Amino acid sequence: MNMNKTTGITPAEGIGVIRKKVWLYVIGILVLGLLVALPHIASAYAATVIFILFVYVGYAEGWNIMSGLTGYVNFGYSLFAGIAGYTSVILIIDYGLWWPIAWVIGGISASIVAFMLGMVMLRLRGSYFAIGMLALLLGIQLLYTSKYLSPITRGGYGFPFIEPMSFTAMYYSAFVIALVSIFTTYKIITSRFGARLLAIREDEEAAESVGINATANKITAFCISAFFGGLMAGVHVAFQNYIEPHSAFNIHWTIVPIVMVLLGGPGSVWGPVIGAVILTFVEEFLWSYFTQAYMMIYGVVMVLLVLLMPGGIIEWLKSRGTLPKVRTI
Amino acid sequence: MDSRERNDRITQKGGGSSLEVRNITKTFGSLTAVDELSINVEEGRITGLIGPNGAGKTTLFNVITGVLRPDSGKVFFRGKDITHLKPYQIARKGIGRTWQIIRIFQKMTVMENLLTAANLKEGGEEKKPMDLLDYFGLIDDKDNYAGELSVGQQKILSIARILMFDPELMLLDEIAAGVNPTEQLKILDVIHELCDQRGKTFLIIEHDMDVIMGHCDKVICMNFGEKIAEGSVKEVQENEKVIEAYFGS
Amino acid sequence: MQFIPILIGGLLLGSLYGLAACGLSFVFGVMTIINVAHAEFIMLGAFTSFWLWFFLKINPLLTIIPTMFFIFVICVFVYRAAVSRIVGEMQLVSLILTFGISIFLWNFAQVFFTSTFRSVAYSTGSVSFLGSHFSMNKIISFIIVSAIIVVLHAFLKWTRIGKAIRAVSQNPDIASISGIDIDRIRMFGFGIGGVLAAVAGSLIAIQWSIYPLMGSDLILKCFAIVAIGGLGSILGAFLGGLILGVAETIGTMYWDATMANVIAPLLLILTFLLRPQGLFGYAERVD
Repeated sequence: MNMNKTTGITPAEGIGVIRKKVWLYVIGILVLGLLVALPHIASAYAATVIFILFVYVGYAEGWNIMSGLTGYVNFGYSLFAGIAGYTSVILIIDYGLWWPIAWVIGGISASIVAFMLGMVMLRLRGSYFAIGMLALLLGIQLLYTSKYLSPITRGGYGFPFIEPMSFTAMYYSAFVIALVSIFTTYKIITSRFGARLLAIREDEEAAESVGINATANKITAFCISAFFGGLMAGVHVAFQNYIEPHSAFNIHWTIVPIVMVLLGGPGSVWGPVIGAVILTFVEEFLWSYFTQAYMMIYGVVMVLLVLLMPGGIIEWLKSRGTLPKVRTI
Repeated sequence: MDSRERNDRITQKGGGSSLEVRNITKTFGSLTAVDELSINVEEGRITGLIGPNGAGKTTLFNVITGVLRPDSGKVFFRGKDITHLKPYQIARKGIGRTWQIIRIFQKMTVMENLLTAANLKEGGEEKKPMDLLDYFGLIDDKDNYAGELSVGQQKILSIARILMFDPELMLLDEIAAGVNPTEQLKILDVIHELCDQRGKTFLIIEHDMDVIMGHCDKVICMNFGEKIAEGSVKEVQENEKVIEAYFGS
Repeated sequence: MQFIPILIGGLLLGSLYGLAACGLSFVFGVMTIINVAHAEFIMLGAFTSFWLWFFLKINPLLTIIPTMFFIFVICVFVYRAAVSRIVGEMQLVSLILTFGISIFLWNFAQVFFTSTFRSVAYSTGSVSFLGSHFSMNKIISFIIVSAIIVVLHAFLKWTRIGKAIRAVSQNPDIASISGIDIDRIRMFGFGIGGVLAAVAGSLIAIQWSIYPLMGSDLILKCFAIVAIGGLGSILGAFLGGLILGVAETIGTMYWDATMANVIAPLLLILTFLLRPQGLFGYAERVD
């Protein structure tokens, strides 16, 4: 909001601004209400689509917290989904743990892994980190298929299970987790921690020279990113009724969030949400017509975004003046 | 405050060594950038570091601030060995640094640039960002992207940013270069005030001899990684080796 | 005495790995871009060779030449359309860009080539050595790889374009001032990287099964090899390939094939941690 510095804001302008904000809140509440009521008023198919949307919002915001803010692109994000997925399912099915706790522990297990990996991987330069994470993802996926871990993981074929909760429970859980991830991103971006992360993205060496412990900050962001990815993966895997290494660690859970974040705007609060909304509906449409080819389109979109709109939609709208240039968005 | 007054103040305070570089050597493969260099920077003074391009001045800065690890030798800051500390630890101990090419965070606002460096001095007090913005005349621009400021303002912002953690020693690499005379005067005023009023120590790399001659208490000259002269402005100005370094023999 | 056949088998395998990774290292040397889609070009080369053999019934080894040309043209197109626009940018930009290209290519292959495993039925018999049998295909492949390396080396050392490529790799600014059109040279460089990948693909087609997703499995090995050898070093890539080939062969003997596949990512991580510059590259660590 640009204030006229010498004369302040005029009453007419002031009312205009308040009106815009009121509209925003009204629309926001209506949308929220709609989403809350959805499982009861819409078809099962529609509810499932929106559920998947929530899942992707969680994944995308999670990826954004680390890679969008620090600029360290994590090509191995599915690692956290897979680890947390397995942890939560094993806790629920083999140990009878109550599912919300299992999901949270799943997220925490992903965070712990992120911490250990981060201590090592985040000392590397950006591109080495990116490739290293991809290598780790593929390597750990192989480990989960190997016979060495199969007493716990049942090896390469995985196993089916009946999830002990209703779809409605999953729907609302995913909804809450998605909201929490958005709120957490907002809190981080507007905090000094967020400023430090953005500084690292801008110029890591200069950031270090003003006293920022880059490694510690990166590891913290990494752990938070892993937590949300893992937490949401618990819900996601429960929905699928089946866990096996190929799907749990599938690169799809990395590619899709990345494209969503790039499309919406990396390093912003709502960018991942915008990207998730657009791509979920596009994917639904494309999938029914081009069952196989739609993944090709993801690749093309990624390339086009990098070439033409590197800041995503949000940055584009900000540069056009449609959106104010504040971090809160 | 001129040199003489500053000397009096320092003698009253008991000026000690702010920075001591002891026999630092840094090589890159077959190239020796810094060769067994030893210098002493006194507290509360403005020391100039001069020398032709490639003399090793910026490499020395990088070694002092921990960006580069020296092959041998030590660096002491206020008596404590900081040779093997990481850059962020050295900053927190109280050494601030700017670069020849301005390295502020272009796509972050002026205020955000300051907030990245807040609250870091070990045992020190946090500077209020608004006070600093006010002091440097940047309050009106606080929500603008740093990249939109003029060059002179950006240089001032880079000083403001390191002041957030209240460093005792500031290493400035060609801070007065590339700005118009008015801005240059402003920057030098700031340096003098910080030195005279708040007792800060400065080690500045400069190519502009007017700046060196008019504002430094002491000058060190480097060439080919070695210290070839050290003393007052007049002494260094008349030193044969220095003249030879700049103009050839 | 069991060791020598394993070593030979590993070296034969490793030579092919080395060629596969060579192009990746080469492209990085010329324009400091890590081409994540590199293994997809290997896959395209493999399929091109396969279709040529399948439809035209010509000797698979002869398909290498047209495949080289075809992939070269594709790479030139990819360079012009996308890669050239981001050469100066941060490395992460090129990573995401080439990642996107790779996603497009393997899904394209899945859609249009279908997932059936295919292989070229071409057998030149086998050779006995020290009590073990080695497929002649692998030995021919080794010879071809060696020939390519020699030709590449000669090309870089003695031809005008080769020298220009070396100049641009070492110092683009000076090369540009000397009158070299660095954009054109980079285009050539990217094309040559693709050609190396294409030959590797053709050779793979006569030794193993090919399938659209083979790129995803190979890219990790290529990254590991290039990490071990050092980004930008062709000799390093070749040596790294040999090392990986031998390690995997030993791994398959003493564990199983799955664990042998874990070796590549493991070596990659270890290299990054212990010696990021690899054998012959330059160090790039944050602290």
